[in-house]
Amino acid sequence: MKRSILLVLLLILLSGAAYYLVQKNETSKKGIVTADRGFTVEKMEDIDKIVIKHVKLQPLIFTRVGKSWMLDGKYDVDPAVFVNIEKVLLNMRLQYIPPAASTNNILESIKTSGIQVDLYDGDDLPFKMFHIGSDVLKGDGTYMVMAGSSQPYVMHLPGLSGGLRSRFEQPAKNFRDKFIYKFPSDLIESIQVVYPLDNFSSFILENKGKTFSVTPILDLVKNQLIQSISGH
Amino acid sequence: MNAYVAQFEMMGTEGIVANSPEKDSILNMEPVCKITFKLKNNKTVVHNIYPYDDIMEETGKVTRTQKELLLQNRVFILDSKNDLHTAQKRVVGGMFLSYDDFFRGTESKLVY
Repeated sequence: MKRSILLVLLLILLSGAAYYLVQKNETSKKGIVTADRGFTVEKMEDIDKIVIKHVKLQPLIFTRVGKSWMLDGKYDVDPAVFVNIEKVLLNMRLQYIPPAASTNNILESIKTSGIQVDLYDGDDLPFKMFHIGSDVLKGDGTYMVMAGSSQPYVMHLPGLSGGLRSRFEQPAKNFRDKFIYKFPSDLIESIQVVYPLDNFSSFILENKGKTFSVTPILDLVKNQLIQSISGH
Repeated sequence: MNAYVAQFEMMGTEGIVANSPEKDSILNMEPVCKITFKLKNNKTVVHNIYPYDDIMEETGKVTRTQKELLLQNRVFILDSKNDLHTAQKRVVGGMFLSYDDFFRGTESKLVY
């Protein structure tokens, strides 16, 4: 009887140990996969610089300035275009893991025509780096791989049937703010509109405090001439 | 007058012309219109306007006056950073008034 109890206890102990070992193994496997899929950030405030490097295009460097972004340190970024990048960095999800047989081809294609995305949070070194490959044949997802990993994933934006690559494959000019004027009235001292071959239509508007005055350019030229002559 | 000034609070273009073969020849042309802003922060912003249709559609016309400029469907705008933009007249046409227009009840002219 004593022997049977000992055997049962031993069996329970071994079962427990086996269960623990299996669980531990699964958790660690799951951890690798999760890390590999960690392409996104929780909020854009976590990023203060994004560098997008394309084999055939000039690199794009986006730097955060307050709530907006600057491109290459000198151009305002068009928020209506940049939101396409933001949506990917915040919301892309794993669509599926491509079959192991195609892994080499995907990695090779990323090597030759991939787009590298580096995310910075204030340090000199990026806290996240990943590569974007081509869109899948069906066009509803895009191959991506984390830097240092050899496991590609097909990522997509839930609710969107298109690929994600084109959002990162734009020339700099497409990201630039197209607003040429953002001048509140009270910032303007004067506006001179000159038609070089049509002086009668040309004019200057001057800020007089609460209102603006308009003067024909010809009057201005005439006054300058009179002043110049009387000066002599 | 206030409506004229207010349009500059936010005005955008269609796009930036990066590598058009016409860019160099456009930059060698005399602009049809030159708009200079003096701002209270001591900045000066100068934009030169060129007739898009004359150049791109080879209409054979040569736009010289303010009235002729209003016949263009699009214009090129060269900004202070030396970038060339294209803009539709229905968006930026309100800039191209003449002195006389300010005395003709022109509020409706600002809408294209």
